[in-house]
Amino acid sequence: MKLWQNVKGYVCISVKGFSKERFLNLLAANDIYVWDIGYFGNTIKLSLTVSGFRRIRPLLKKTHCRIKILSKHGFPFIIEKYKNRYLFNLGFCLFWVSVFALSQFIWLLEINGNSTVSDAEILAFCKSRNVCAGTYKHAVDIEKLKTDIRKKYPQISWISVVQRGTKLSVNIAENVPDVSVPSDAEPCDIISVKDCVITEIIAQNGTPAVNVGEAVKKGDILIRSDFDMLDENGTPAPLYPAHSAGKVRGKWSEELSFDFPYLADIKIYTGKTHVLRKISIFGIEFDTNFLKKDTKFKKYDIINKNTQLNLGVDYPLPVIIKKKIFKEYEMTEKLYSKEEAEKAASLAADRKLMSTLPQNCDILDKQIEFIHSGDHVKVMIKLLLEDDIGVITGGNVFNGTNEAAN
Amino acid sequence: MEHNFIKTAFFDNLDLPKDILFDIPVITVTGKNELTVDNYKNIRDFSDKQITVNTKSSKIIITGTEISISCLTKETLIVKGCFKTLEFG
Repeated sequence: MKLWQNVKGYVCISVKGFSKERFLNLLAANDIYVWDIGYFGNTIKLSLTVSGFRRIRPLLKKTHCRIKILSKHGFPFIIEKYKNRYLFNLGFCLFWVSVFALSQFIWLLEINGNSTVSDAEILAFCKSRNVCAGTYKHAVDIEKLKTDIRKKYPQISWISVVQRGTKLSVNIAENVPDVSVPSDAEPCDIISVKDCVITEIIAQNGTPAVNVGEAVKKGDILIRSDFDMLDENGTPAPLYPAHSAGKVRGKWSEELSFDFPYLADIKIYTGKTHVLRKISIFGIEFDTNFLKKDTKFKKYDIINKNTQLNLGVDYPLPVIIKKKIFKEYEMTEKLYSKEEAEKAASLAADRKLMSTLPQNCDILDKQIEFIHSGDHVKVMIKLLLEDDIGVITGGNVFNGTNEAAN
Repeated sequence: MEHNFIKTAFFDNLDLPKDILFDIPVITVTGKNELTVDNYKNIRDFSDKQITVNTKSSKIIITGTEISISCLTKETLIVKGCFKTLEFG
């Protein structure tokens, strides 16, 4: 109710006089809606609508009351206040017109879910189809864009293009790349890709050729494609070659060693930063740094941060603030004590393992040994690893790489 | 009187609400801070300590502090404030 009165406009007045109660009764009798009537000393304050206010003059005369307008609220009074400010009104209208006009274009192309095809490739392809930041959004044929992208990139199995506000999101799901695996009907063996000791063997199809605990060499057959079967007379049945399937895991040990010097150069950030800002409007860059175009720092890291202004999530604007942050650092030499060197070296070893070991590999055992000598510590890591080692091969075709197994 | 007696008997027997016919005020008190009077006649006296409302049957005197009228129409009167007493004079 109060909100609606704000839209229609209302006034707060104070009433003075001898028979204020009579005035209130007359207001009610004349169907003039009043609310928030309060008593303050000799006066009463009340709120009433604009149309009601126009009708109270005869009632005031009748009751010999006097009124004073305390405040005016609501939309009609705001309009009245700004009616004669032409430039302000023009600016206000231009603002809404420009917001509407700018929202008719696409200002952000978002690509999700791609792994083999890069963002830049898809953006370039969209640009060649006249879909880029600044395109009139109603001119974009989404269905055609979808089919074009799918035709161009056959590895994309599913695509959805959603245009919301000034944002066009391209969501993609990619196929797993084809691995040349012999078809189900074709007979094949499973062979080892590594020298190792078998820890687990489960043959779903075919005959296991090795036992658990047995050492195998790279290329050895683990699951054979033929079945050893006897018929009901006890004589060997004719061989039916099968398409071998199963899971074979093996363990093997690996050694890794590297030197870690006691005296090391380390980066220490001084905490000083220098920021250069650029504003890009409609793709045109404006430099805001008029005096300092470059940094004074001698050694620094650069961090680039781009922020696109937006109105809510779905309405990005064609204004991008590009920040270039220079972080100063100094190289200092640090002399590690033996304990510190061991700690730092084991951390470095973990990082190295993370980057070198295959993803699905299990570490059964890890032993780190430090040998202190001269100006460095030698780190020896002995690992016992376990992984899937079987790979399907069609007859003699075998490329012998671990990637083929994955 | 005879007429009124018949009316009363009629409404009593049928369990009909009496305020429809007799213009009897309906007073609804919500907690101790809000009071609604329907079918009132007029306001006799109004200040922040006391409000007296005339109705067809009797007058209603409400006393308290910070009394104000939050809504005033031809039929309904909503009084707000911190009430102490409600009397029928």
